[in-house]
Amino acid sequence: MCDKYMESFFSIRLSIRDCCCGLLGFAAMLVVSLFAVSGPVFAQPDAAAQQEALLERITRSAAEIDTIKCEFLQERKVSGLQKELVSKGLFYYQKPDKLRWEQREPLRAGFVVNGKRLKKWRGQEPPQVTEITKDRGISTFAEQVFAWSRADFDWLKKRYEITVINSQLPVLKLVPLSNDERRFVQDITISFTRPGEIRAVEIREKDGNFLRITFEKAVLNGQIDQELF
Amino acid sequence: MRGLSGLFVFLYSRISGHRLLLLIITLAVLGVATVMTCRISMDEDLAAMLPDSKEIRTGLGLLKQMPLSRKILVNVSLHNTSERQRLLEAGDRLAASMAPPLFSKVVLGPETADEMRLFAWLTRSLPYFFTDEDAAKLERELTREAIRAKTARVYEELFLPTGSAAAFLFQADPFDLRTIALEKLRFLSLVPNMRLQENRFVSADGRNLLLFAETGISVTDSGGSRKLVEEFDRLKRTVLPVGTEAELLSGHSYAAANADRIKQDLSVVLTASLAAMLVLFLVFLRTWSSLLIFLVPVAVLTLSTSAIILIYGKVSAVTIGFASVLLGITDDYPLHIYFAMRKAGHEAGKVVAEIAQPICFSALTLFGAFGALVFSTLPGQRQIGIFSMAGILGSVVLSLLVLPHFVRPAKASDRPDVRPSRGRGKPKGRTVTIACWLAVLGFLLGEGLTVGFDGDIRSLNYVSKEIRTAEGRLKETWGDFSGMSIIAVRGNSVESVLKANERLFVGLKSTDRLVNAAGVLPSMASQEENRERWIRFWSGGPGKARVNYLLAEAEKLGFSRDLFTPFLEKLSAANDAAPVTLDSLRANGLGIILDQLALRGESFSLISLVPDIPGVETVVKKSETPGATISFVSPSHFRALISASLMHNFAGYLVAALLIIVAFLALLFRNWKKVIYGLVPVLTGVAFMTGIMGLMNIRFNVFNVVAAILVVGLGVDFGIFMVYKGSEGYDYDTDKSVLLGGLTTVTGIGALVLAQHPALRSIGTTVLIGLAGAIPSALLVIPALQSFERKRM
Repeated sequence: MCDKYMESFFSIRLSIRDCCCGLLGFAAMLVVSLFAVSGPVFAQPDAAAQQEALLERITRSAAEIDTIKCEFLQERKVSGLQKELVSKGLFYYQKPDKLRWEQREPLRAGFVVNGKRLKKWRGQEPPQVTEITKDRGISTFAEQVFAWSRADFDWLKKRYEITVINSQLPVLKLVPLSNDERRFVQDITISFTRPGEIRAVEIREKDGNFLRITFEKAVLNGQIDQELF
Repeated sequence: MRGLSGLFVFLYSRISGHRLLLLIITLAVLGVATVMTCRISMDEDLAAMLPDSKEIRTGLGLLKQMPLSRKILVNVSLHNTSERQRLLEAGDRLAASMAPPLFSKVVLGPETADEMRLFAWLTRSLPYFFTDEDAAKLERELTREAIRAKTARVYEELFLPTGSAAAFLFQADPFDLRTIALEKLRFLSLVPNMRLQENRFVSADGRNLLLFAETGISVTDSGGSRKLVEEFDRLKRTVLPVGTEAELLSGHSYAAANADRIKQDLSVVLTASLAAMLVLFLVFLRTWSSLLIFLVPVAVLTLSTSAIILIYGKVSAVTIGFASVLLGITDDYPLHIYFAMRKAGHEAGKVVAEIAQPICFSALTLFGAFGALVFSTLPGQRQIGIFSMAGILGSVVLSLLVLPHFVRPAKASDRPDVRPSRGRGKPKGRTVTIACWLAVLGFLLGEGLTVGFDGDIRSLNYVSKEIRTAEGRLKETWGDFSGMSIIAVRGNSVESVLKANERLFVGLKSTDRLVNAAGVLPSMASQEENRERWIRFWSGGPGKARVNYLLAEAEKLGFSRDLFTPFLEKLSAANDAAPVTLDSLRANGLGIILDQLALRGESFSLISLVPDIPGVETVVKKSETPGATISFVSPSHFRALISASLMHNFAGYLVAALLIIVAFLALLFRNWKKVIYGLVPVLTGVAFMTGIMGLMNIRFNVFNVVAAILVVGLGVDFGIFMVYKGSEGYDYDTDKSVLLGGLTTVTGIGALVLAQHPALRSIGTTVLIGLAGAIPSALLVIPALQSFERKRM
C-alpha cells in the first residue's frame, strides 16, 4: 500500500537500509568472485599500495567475469524478534543486466531482473511481472549489483570507505560515507577462507541487527540456463 | 470641391518659391520625430491585444500565477548509460555552474537535506490530518484479517535480502498510518511523476533529474533570454559528464526561439520584399525621384510613432508591429502624386489640386475607418487606431505639400497626353466579369460566415523543433502538468482562506490530478477537530481493538510485544507535535511546492490546480465563505472568452467601419451608385479574406484581425480612386497607381506568408488573401460596372 502512495508523490526514501543490505551482500560477493580470477594479491608490504594494487587488479579482472552461480545462506537478526531468521537458495548473475535471487527455504520466493523487466514470486501466489522501476527496493539493489560487477572503484570510493583489514585470510571492510546510509548500516565485512573463495558477507546495522550471507559452491563463468531469467 | 482645389493651387504656388525652406522644415520635423522614435520605450505586454474586460484581465492575472510558470525547468537525463550516480553528478555540476547574473537561484531538491525529516514530521503530525473519512477508512480496512496478513507478509519479507526496510517500517508504523498523510501529500504533486532520490527530484524511471531555476531576466526580454539560453548551452557543453544531457524549458527558451525565428523570417521576407520591390521599380518607375515614394512611408512611420509617444508615453510592441501595415497604406498617396506629377508638365499646381480631392476624401474615409478602432475594447487596437490616423495625416501632408515640389516631371517626349478619361469604354467581357464577381462574392460571403476566431495566444508562439522535443520529453518523463485550470482563494485572514480552501478541496478531491494544499494544511479549527478525533479513536474501541489484534498476531510469529512500544506511545501522544502551519510545512521540505501555491501579496491567497473539465465552476461558487473570495479560470474558458470577444470586437469594427465608409463615400460622391462602386474593393477584399479563410480553416487571431483592417483601408483607397477615374474625369495612371499600391503592400506585408513564425505568417496570409480580392475587383469590376451603367444610359 505504501508503494502506491510513494508512486503518486515524490516518494520518501525509506529503503536505504534495504538497498544497503542487499546490494552490499552481492557487491561483496562479486568483489570476492573477482578475487578468484585475479588471484592472491595480499603479499604486498605497503598497505595503501597493497589496497590500490588489489583494487586495480579487481577492476581489470571484472571484465573476465560473465556469469556467477552459487548457493547462499542468509541469516538475519532483528531486534524484537526472538529467533534468528535463516533462509537458503540460489543466486545467478549474468553480465550485464541479469540476476536471479531464488530463495528455496523456508519459503519459495525470489525475483529475477532481466534488463528493465522484473519478475517476483512468493509461495503459491502467482508471479508478478512488471517493470524494474516499479519496485524501488529491487531496482536500486539490482542497479548497484550491476555497478559493482563493473568494479567501478571510483564510484564505490565516493560511497564507501574501503579497507583491507586482513591480507592473510582476506577481509574487506566497507563503511558508508553518507549520513543516510550510516543511519542504518554501521559497516559491512566481507570474509574469505582463502583468496578467491567467499566465506561470508556481514552487514552490521543499528540496534544490534545484522544480516549475514554466506556463499557456497560458487561457479564462475559457467553456463546458465537462460530460462532462469 | 472648388474650394479645396483652390486651396491646393494656392499652397502649391506659395510653397514652390521656397523649396529650400520647405526641405529644411521637413527635415527638421522629421529629425525631431526620428530622435523621439529612437528613444522609444516599448511595452511588450501582449495583454494590450486582449479585450479590455474585467473577466479577461482577472483571468490573465490568474494565469500568470500558474505554479512553475515563472520557473526555469531543466531536465537532466542519462544518455547511453544507466549509471544513476552519474545523473546525480550531472545535476550537481549543472546546478553549481548556473550562477548569477543570469541565474539567481537553482533548486535541486527540497530545502531540507534530511530525507527522513518530512516522513518523521508527517507521522508526528498525523493527529492534525485525521479526518472523519480517514477514521472510517481505518475502521473499514484495518480488519483482523488484514492485520494478520500484513504481519505474516512482513515476516516472510525478512527472509529476503530486501527485507530490512519492511522490518523498519513495520516496527515504526505497523498500521501504515503514514498513508493517511501520504494520501494528502498526493494533492501537492505539481509534477506527477516526480520522486525524491538522495534529496533530488528524480523521475520514476530514475533516468531524469529536474532542476528548478530562477532568473531576473523577464521572459519579454528577448535579448536577455537569448543570453540565458546561450549560457545554458555553454554550461551544458562544458560541465556535464559524459553520458548525460540537459534541456532547458522556460518562457525564456520560447522568447529566444521566437526572437530568432522572427529574425530569420524577416531576413527571408525582407530579401523577398526587396527583390519584388526592385522588380516593381524596374517595371513601373525607373527614375531616381521615384525613390521619394518609398521615403514618405518611412517618414510617416517616425511621425506616427512620435505622436503615440506624445500621447501614451510608450508604444505597444503590437503597434510597432502594425507599422508594416501602415507602410502599406501610406505609400499609396505618394504613388498617386508621383504618377500625376510625372504627367503634370507646367500645370503642376493644377494637377496637385486635382489629385488632392480623391486623396483628401480617401484620407478622410480612412480616418473614419481607423477612427472606429478608437472605440475598440482592445487597448492595443485603440493605440493602433490613433497611430494609423496620425500616419494617414502625415502621408497626406507629405504627399500633397512636400512631394510635388521634388518630383520632376517626365520629359515632354516621354509624357503621355493628359487625357482625362472616363474609364474604359467597353471593357471586353464586362458582363462575364460582373457575373463571375457576383458569383464568387456570393459564395465567399456565405463561406465567410464560417470563419472562426482563435483566442489561444499560445498557438501564435513559434515552437522550435528543439523546444517541441523538450516539451514532449518533459511531458513523457514528468507527466503533463500544463493545461490545468487555476483556482485562487483569497482573503484577508489566513484562517478564512484555509476554510474556503478546505471546502474547495472537499468538492474537488475526487477529481483526478487535483493540486490543493488543504490536505496537509487544514484550517486551525479543523486541525483541532482532527486531533480530538484521533484521541477518541485510539483511546476508545476501534483503535484499541486493532492494537490488540496486532500484538496477538505479531506474538504468534515470534515478535516481541516491546517491538511496538514506540509506535503505541505515538498513538497516545497527540499533543507531541504543534499544529500544522505554512512555516512548519516549509521547514520540513515542502517549501518549494508551497512557494508556488501559497502567495502573499496585498492579501493571502492559495492556488489550486484542477484538470480543465466541466463542473469545476459550480464547486468553486459553492466553496466561497465569508471573508474569502475564489477566482477561477480554465484555459478552455479563457480561450473561448477571448475568441468571443475578438469576434464581437471584429464584427463591431467591420460594421462601424463600413457605416463610416458609406457615410463618407456618400458625402464625397453624392451618388448611391458611385458609393456602391467605391465599396466594391472593400466588400470583395473582406469577402475573399473571410471566405477563403473559412474554406481553408484559417482562423482570425489577435494579430491578423489587425491585418484585416489594412484590407478595409486599402479597399476604400482603391475604390475612391477607381471611381474617380471612371466618373470624375480624373486619370493620372490611376490603374497603375492602384496596382502598384496594392503590389507594394503585397510584397511588403503579403511576403510575410513566407515566414515560419505563426503570427507573422497569419498576418501575411490574411493580407494576401484580402488583397487578392480587393486589387482585381478595383481594377476590373469597378470599370466594368461603370461601363455597364454607361451602356444602359
